[in-house]
Amino acid sequence: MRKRQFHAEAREAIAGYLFASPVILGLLIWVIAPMIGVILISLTDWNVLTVPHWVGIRNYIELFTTNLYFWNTLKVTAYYVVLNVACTTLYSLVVAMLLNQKIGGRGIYRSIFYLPTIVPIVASSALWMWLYNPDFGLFNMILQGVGLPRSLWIDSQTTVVPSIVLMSVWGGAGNTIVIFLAALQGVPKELLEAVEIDGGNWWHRFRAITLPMISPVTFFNVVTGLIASFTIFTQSYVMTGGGPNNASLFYVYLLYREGFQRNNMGGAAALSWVLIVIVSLLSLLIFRTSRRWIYYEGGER
Amino acid sequence: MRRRFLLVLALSAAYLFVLALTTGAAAPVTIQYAYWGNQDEEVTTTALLKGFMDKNPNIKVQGTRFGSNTQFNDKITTLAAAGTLPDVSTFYEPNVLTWGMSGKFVDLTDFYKKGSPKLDVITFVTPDGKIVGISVANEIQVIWYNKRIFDAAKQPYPPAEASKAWTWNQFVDISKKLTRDMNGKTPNDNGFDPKNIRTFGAWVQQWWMPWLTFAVSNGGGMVSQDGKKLLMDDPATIDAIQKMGDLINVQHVSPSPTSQQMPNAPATSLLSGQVAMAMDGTWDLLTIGTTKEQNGLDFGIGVLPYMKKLATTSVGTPEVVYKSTKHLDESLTLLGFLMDPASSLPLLQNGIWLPNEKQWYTDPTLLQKWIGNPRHPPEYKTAVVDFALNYSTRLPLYYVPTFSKMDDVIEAALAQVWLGQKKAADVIKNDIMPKITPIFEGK
Repeated sequence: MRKRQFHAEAREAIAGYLFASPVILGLLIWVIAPMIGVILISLTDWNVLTVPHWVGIRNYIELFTTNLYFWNTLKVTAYYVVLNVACTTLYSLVVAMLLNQKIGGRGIYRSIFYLPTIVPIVASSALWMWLYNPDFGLFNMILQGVGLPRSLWIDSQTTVVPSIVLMSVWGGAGNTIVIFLAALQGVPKELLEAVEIDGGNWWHRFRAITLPMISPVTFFNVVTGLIASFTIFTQSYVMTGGGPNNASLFYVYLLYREGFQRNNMGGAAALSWVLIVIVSLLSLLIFRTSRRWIYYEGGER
Repeated sequence: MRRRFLLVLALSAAYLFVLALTTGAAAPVTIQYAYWGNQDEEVTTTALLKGFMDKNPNIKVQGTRFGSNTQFNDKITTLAAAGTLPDVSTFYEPNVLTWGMSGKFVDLTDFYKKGSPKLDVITFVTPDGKIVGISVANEIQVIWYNKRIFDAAKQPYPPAEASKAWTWNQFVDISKKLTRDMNGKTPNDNGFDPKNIRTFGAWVQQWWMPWLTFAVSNGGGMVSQDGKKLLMDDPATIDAIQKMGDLINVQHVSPSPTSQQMPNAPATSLLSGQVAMAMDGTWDLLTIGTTKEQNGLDFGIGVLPYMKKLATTSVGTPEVVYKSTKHLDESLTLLGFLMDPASSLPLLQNGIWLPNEKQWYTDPTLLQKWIGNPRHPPEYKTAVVDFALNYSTRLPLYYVPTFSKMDDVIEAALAQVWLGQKKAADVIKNDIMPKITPIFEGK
């Protein structure tokens, strides 16, 4: 009797693993194995063209000491990540709250704000290059029309990152808005009404009820936004080539350039591992501090 | 039922196997050719390869297009990593020498010497003197202009003969007279508004080809022609780059650094009157010629102005043969066919290319074959053909293996000159030289 039960459990476990095997195998073959492979490559001087030699941690030392672009790219990328996550989160929350109002044509507005998300990023980059053109672009024509000074947008060291953030917010906020919208609809109405009965205005409702209730979703958006922002590539590849004066030389673009244009695969592999470590540490930090500012209904998690 | 199915499957597999064996034995040698280009070029190349196979029935060529030249570079790098390189291909210009030096390409020195003489400015030569790649075409820098803007401003057209070429000062002077702000004023008038310019007199772009050209014209350059000395901080180079920066920020006759990113830029901006003259490659004849035919752009071509001596520079799509090929003879036959200007006649006639062989510039019969059509205006012979033959200088990407690594540093730093934030001398001495000297010296 007991043996039989064991047998059944084993069968169930085997079946379970079998059903899960596509995912497990996928993870092993397409994620874990390449990650280990990249560690190995990062310890060699592989340039694709000749036989790789083992060089130990030389590639890592070079990154931190002699690489001409490493510290600059960290600075530029960090600037972009902070600005982009802050702007996208704020903008998405405001838009989601507006879209949560009971107004006519709500469905249409929701579609309009989501629409940029499905435009391929290469296409929208090409479009925004036209908008940003300092001589003939639409943005400068508008600025000029209302009597404001024109901007160099993506052609100035100081405005290139904010310009790319503006574009990223427009193109990337769609998903964040949808997630916020779902969270806002989950905020219990009786609590909001309770505040109203107590004489609270919209700010009290927002500050005391809405914000805490959606804090887990805000957390999710910030973490995913952070990781996604670190991997920004297409904008510098298509729009700026990393310029002007390396002001938009983002991390992954540098990684691509080292690996594929300059055949320094060892260095590129080292760059990618450093990025993984940076992103993991930051995510860990956010997770650690999250208890202080996230409210989970029904207790701690 | 199921058994029968399996039987059919097994039989057909066996049949296919036998078929493959028999045809395999009788089939011609198959070689792989990879290239970069757009979809129009795919059509042209496919036709070209078909022409080759008709002439050489024992060689079958499989052509594959790999997208733009940077996308090509990504894919060929991946193929090299996987050990599945093609036999012959075009190549990403900045990497020809580094790949050649690591032994990936067949040494083409003998091939080069055997054929009819080619333009030597477009051969890729390693420091130890091996030719590892040859450009299939020659494309130089010239001046394109809209005649109507010159007529309206009552200015002489840019000269089409090298002997009458403008000096830099003449060029700047006339550019000023062609430039107009929104109120129709030129930079010479009081109250000229440099922030609102309707027509720029001369558009000179900011990537390496124009500044290298004028650096050479001024007696400087990036690296000396023997590849041994860095010339980037030579006073002549600094002066040339500063003069180009001044075109934008002092004389206000050239637009700020992005317009080049607009597709078809020279053709459309000449047509719309945004620029009166544009310095750009001869490849523009395709789009500018089309704009003439469709929109009536009344254009002309002139030789470049000069600083100390007449100079232009050449580029062109490189062709290489891989050492990993199992069919060297057939690959070289294909290369010979591709390099023959007669094979690329449609591309020569539509204006995008100039031939790579000297005799196509000098022999009147051959010359007539590619420029004797309405696409090529009458002044093309002197402004392009003779100018290219007599005044082309070899660009560093043809003989300096560290070109692209140094250029990463240079282009990024020069942006400050183009934007008028710093002087060329400051940028070159403080931002560029400390970084490129170790790269050049291989440290």
